[in-house]
Amino acid sequence: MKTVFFASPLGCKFVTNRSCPLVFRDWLEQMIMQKGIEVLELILAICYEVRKVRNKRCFEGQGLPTTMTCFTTALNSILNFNNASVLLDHTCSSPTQVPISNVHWSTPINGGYKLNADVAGPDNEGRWGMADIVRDSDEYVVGVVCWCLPLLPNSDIAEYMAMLKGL
Amino acid sequence: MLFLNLTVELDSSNALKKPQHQSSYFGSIVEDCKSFFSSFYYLELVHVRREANQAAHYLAKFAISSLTDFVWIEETPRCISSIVALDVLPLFD
Repeated sequence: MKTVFFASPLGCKFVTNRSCPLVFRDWLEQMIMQKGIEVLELILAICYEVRKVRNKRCFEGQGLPTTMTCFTTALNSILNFNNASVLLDHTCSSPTQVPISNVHWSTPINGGYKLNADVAGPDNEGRWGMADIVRDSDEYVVGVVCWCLPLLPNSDIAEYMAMLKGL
Repeated sequence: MLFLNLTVELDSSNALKKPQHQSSYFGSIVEDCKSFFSSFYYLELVHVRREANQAAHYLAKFAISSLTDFVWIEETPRCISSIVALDVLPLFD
């Protein structure tokens, strides 16, 4: 029979010698010194999962999953993390261009008007607030309207409704 | 009142994209908006950062808390008067 660390292929012998049991700290030290990055990744991910399971148990009163589930989740999180860093590398080397948007309100062009529309919400009762404000090229406020609506499916619809009322 | 030349600014980038899954509800609102577009001589829809849309943002928050509809013509509601004043100040970097 082989002793393993949380269902992982990592072997560990915490109690090889009864008079002097290997403590976790020493074992971890050995692993860090001797093993490669993949092994360390796995240990850290498993430790994180174990801690998470412990917190779920202590603070949310949830039952314990099997050791195997814990190990698979750890493997998945390593995979996800590595994929995410590949994606990050990719976006850093060839960033997708986002159109430059104004960060400060600007006066509309001569003789024109500008309508600013926005929504807020939903609040706890599901109400959405919507507002439109129209200003002219002399920076005068021409018209302002705001209203409150219950029950809209999402913010896109809300934004469009704000625009519609403004028009 | 007829606005011949209008710029519409929204801070939601989703609203300016072509809707992907067009529910009939959403679609009908978009169509309603489009029907208004033709009555303008010049109409531009732009996305702005939230910072540039503060006045509308605060007014929308005010709308939730007030639970009533409001219309102001040629005057600025008190709840956003300071933001409107800030908007017309030149931008200092």
